[in-house]
Amino acid sequence: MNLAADLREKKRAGRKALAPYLCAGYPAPEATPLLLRSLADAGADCIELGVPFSDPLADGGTIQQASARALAQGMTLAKALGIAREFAAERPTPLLLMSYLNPLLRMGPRRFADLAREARVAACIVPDLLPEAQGLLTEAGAPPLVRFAAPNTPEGRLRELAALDPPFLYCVSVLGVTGARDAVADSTLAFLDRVRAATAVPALVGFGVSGPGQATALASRADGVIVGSALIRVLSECRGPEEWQGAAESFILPVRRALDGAA
Amino acid sequence: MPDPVTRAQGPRGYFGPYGGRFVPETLVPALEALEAAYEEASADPAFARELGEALATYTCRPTPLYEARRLSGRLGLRVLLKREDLNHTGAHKINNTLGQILLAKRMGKSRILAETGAGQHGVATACAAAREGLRCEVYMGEEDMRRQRSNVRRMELMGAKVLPATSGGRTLKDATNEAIRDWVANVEETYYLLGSAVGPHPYPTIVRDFQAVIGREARAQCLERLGRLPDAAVACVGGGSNAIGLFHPFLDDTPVKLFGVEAAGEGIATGRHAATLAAGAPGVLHGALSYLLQDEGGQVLEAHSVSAGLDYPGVGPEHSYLKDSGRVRYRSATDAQALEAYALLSRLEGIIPAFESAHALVALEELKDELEPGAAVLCCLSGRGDKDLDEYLLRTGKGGST
Ligand SMILES: Cc1ncc(COP(=O)(O)O)c(C=O)c1O
Repeated sequence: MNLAADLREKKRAGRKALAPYLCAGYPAPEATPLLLRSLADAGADCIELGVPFSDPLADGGTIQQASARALAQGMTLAKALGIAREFAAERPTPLLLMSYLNPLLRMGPRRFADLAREARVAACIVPDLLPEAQGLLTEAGAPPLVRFAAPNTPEGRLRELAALDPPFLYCVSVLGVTGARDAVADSTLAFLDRVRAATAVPALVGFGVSGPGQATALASRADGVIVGSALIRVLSECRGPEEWQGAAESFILPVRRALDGAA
Repeated sequence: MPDPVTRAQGPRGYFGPYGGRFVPETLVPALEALEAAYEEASADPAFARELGEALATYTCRPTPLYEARRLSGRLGLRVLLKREDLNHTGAHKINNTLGQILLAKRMGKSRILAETGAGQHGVATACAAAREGLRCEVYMGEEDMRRQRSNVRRMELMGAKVLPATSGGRTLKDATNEAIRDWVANVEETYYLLGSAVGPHPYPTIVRDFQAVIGREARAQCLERLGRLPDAAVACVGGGSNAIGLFHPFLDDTPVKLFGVEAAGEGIATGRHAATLAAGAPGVLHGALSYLLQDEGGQVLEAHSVSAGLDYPGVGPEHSYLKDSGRVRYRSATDAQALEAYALLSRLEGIIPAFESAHALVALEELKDELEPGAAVLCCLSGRGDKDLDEYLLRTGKGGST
């Protein structure tokens, strides 16, 4: 089933989507396949696999440091796509490939579209690619692009973004970069209400989601949450490879349960 | 059929295939507002008047065109130096900051944010903000704070806060990353005062327009002095603001040969350089598509140059276009050559050039072979070199410890 249909189906059934983010190659290249499996088995609806980039403009310190570590250990877009392909053979959970634009351009849109299709990538998340410039990346058979919306996105543009028919709208919870935050601002909830009023396209909220309480508060006004920096931080505290999977599971399971309980 | 969002922008902000807007969605409203404010200001005679007044009385425009007699004699060329080093705060950067600060004021912003490499843009921003009573914060790479200590102190004295960028190579690229992240988080009250002809549309156009005063003045001064246009014009290229400012008014004067000079650091072959146009490939960094130093996986490479103002792996999109079109030819100068030129101009003319500007001087020596003897060459002396003296002494082993 394609991702858009899958998310719409969940939305109808009242299941809040949980989309954890992993930085490919962090804490180590061999960690990523293990962590993908753990997250899928712990109830992730889809997983965002981030390709590390040297200059992650939309990311705060946690993901910056993870990206630098991953790059230093040799992670690349091609390797991340290889990991995605192997995962697709093992689990049905859809993968979202997140990358800044430059590595995708460098690989070439045609080759990227082919490799992404082979890896059954369900959608691409490219934080520095606006719809105005999407022609640089669109190729026949390429995975669909997720669109971003921010609290300062005007009404008219919200509707235009939704009209592009993305698998979901990635709603940025705050004006700012990624990074775990403690509270949910009223302005964030008002923004999510605005999105819901503007479109029926599924809306997933990300940036700053740090745990079960916050996830349910946000999910009450949206169709799901994306959890990134908080999970990376948990992984950064592992003392060795034997702790990776357990740490990811014990972080994600309570979020899953809270979302299900609240639904 | 193009969708509405795609059609809305169309080819605005592109120079050939380069430029555009590659930013998180959060910045779209800010860039739209900036573009609208700039269009409105450009059509407002009161804006031109206020900027003209600041350029004339706060810095010292028009800057002189100086015929460097002894250097000319040595090179067998007629060298005309456009004295941007005589500007208030010692570099061309103030042409841009005085213009943009007026935009910030028009837009009702309360906080000015900037990135800086050599510190020249930071200082020029700090003084412009001080003059308008606006809060000012400047990101600067830790490595550059070390290399350009006096500029850090100067900014602080003018009431600006200098925020260290500690990621990556801790130079201009990293300071720019931090500034953009900060802008995303504080976009409502903050005006991002970008210091070179780089970044997302409309910055490359705005910065070029404010720096084009260099070329307009120089063109008129050449006509007056020589009775004709110069045979060539030369400028150093970091992000490319002094160069595009010098070149732009000459673009249609096709007999005038235009040369940009990038920093070759320890030599292009060593990989330790900042010669983006010579050795890079098109890519996206800091909001624009342009030539970029990158590896085969599309990761951005660290640049290397003795000159903090040229130590940047990107370049303004209009330069990428001018390179491909062939209208401007781009060359490079190594650290060692720039240090020699720094000493040479000091000795021959009693003018200490910025390390950045010294790169342009290096090209003058090489241009001898491309031009007729006695050809008139206009060279942008983009800044003064006092800020670089400590580093010069350190690198040449001529000073004590600093
Ligand atoms: C004196 C001087 N010249 C040149 C530059 C390079 O910048 P641009 O290429 O934008 O002129 C700098 C940057 O800091 C500078 O201080």
